[in-house]
Amino acid sequence: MIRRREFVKLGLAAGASGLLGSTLEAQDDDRLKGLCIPDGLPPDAPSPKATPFVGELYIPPVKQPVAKLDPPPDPLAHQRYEEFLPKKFYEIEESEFQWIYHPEPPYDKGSWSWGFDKATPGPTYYAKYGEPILVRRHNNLPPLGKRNVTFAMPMTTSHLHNGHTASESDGYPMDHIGSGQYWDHHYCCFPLGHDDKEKLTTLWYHDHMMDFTAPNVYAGLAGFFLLFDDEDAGDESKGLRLPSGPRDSQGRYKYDIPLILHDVRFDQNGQPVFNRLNTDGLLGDKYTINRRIQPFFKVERRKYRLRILNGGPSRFYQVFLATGEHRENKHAFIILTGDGNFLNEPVCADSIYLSVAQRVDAIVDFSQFKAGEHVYLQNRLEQLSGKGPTGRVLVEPGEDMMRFDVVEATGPDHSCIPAKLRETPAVDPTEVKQRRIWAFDYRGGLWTVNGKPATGLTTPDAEIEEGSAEVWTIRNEGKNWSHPIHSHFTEFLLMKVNGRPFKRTAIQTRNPEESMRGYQIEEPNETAAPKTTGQCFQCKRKPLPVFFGGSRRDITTLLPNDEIEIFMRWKDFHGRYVMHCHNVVHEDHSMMIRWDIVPPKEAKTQTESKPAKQGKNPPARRRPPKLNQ
Amino acid sequence: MARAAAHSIQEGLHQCEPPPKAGAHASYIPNVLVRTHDNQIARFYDDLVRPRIVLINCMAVRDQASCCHIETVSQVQPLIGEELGRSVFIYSITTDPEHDTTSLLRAFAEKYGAGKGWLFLTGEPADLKMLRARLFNHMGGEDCSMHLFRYGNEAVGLWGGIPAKSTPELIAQRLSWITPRERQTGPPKRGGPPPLLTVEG
Repeated sequence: MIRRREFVKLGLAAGASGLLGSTLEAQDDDRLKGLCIPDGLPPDAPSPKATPFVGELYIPPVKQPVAKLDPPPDPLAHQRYEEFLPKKFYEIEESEFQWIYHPEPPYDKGSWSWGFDKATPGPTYYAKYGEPILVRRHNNLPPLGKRNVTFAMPMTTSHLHNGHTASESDGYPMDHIGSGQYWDHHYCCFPLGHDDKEKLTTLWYHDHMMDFTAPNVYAGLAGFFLLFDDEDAGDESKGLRLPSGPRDSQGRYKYDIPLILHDVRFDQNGQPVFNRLNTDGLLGDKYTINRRIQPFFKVERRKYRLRILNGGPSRFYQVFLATGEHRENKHAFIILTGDGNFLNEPVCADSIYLSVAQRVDAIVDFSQFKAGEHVYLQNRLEQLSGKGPTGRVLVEPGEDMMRFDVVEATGPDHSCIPAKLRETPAVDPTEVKQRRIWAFDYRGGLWTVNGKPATGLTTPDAEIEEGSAEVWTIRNEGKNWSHPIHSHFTEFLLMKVNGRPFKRTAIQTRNPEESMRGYQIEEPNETAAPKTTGQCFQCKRKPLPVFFGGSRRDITTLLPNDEIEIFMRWKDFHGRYVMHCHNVVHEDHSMMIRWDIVPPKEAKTQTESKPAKQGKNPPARRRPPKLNQ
Repeated sequence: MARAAAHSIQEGLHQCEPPPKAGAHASYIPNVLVRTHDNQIARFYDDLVRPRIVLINCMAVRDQASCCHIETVSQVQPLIGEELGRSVFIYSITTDPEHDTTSLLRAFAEKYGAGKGWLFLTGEPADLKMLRARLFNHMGGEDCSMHLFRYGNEAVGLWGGIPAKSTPELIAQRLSWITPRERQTGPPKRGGPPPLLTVEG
């Protein structure tokens, strides 16, 4: 990346770029230079060179079901199993293998990785609302002492982010299995309360092992999980008519492309390196998309749906689309979703802000480019350490993450972006049973929530009544840290951002000329957009400078001193879940709480309460599963 | 649970792979000289870390808060069992080396019943500072090591962190996680979820 070199030139390189670099202040101790290093390696050697755009984009195949599972699943192990009998069964395997990040040496010999079905990202699930499935996940990772990925933990649990999933299938951090074992995940595939407005689109699955989420996901344990329905149907001729096109031999829609961003640092043999002793967060110096370093991808002159996901571990992105030798021409995205939630209507934006685990479905119409033209997906957000971005947005030429090579279309484009997408659910204050405050901070080597670290998640920090709603204040107590806060199971409806009300149709953005840190909350007014059906949405007014998200999300991005008020509903299941910082290095250093969904109690008045109430395990319609160990 | 954790540690040790010549963090964890409370001089990485499963925390005799954590560590000892001092070691590094002399640390170790395998470490202040910076790597805060325990098995390259406020059982459980064991043989075994219990059940 350019950034590191810039800083070397400025003489500020010490401690600037996180991964193996010491975080001792430069003036703190010159002894670092004289450190006795047994193998003589400099602490933060940059990754070997890899020429950009010579490796082709990898697009994971679609996961195929099996006829049956042997032995069959245990119906008594799952809440509401009989009600949501699986219509499809899948078997997936976690294992170690060599992955080609790039065709040039040393990467061409393969980098030891973990993944699903011998690939990273793992296969993409195409699931459908109304069609419950059961996934049997086998852990076939090599045991300790036998593995080549030494920084990761071969005990695993897998979270479907952000499925409406029963606790026992949710990938709870302590629901781990070891090598040679399997876990059954029952995904009921219905929206919260059977309310269509609660549906999601782009989800992803990733490891969530207690203390080891960051290294396990960095090693490769992640993949996409896409949810369709009769509207978002994967069909350009009906429903929302979003770009999808025919399916290829591996089951993939030709024009619906999942893109997961990971920044990785490699040693001189092309093996990923990861410092487990860093608590700030880790930055890589190679952009990878679907685990290929700066790939190219041939696109036809037509519309594509790009599902862009920040896979972490710690980097934030501001994604641009640019052309020109110096990337001097910027091109807008048409944004459809934020964190898998459809916006009320599409919005146009020059850039997309993605904190860790955030995802956006965006439409890019490549028919605006000529065949033979190169279009670059870029990151321009400066970040120098795992703490969070500096707030500075790089000027041209920015940093390229991948290149689209435009070719002529092979057929007509039947897709049509509708002017209306999906109505966001409304906040209903009468449903609110409880208000809680969660403050995220740092203390003595730990990342804390309300001053406390997660230990074994043995007791809940909050008990939430099923069928109720709560209002949570998510607050960053740090002046220098950024935290992408994620809560499982249910989506957030934003009510306030830094004290300012956030309406259901609002979009969070920022005017780059006004402030490094402040936000603007825009009411999109694409009134020029066609109202009648049959006409397709186009950007009519000036695009927003940056899309930070709509009102419905599952990550609240807390930049320094931010405070966000959210409304959430809980329905349908009982049991244990977590909320945590999705800078997964912070999560692994205890920035996590446990909350439980418990049966409704006696009617009581709404109260303002301090959180972190300790209590015993909740009595449940069915008790949550016992700790695995 | 406590017994189970200790048992699995012992069970796994017989299957330990020989450690590689230089571990995964050889270039990173300082190999500085430290002095143990029983007056042995050791190289931190070569002698204390590389061949062992370790639990590392920071303390100062004068620091009340860290003494609470030392109480916890003392309760972890019996859970490790007889492997403490053989393959599993606990290191408590002083953050106050000017004050915490070897004899003071020795008295402290006696007070908390430190058995064989639990060593209190001191050394040159700058060396200890660097040790803490590397093991508890963080961009700010002087007390960055006081509320986090490190656990690691450098022979297999695996390290983690656990809050000092955790129970002794949870800390012993983490040590069992990083203890090598063979893959289960035979057909895949069901790991979960376990059958749910009804309230009545």
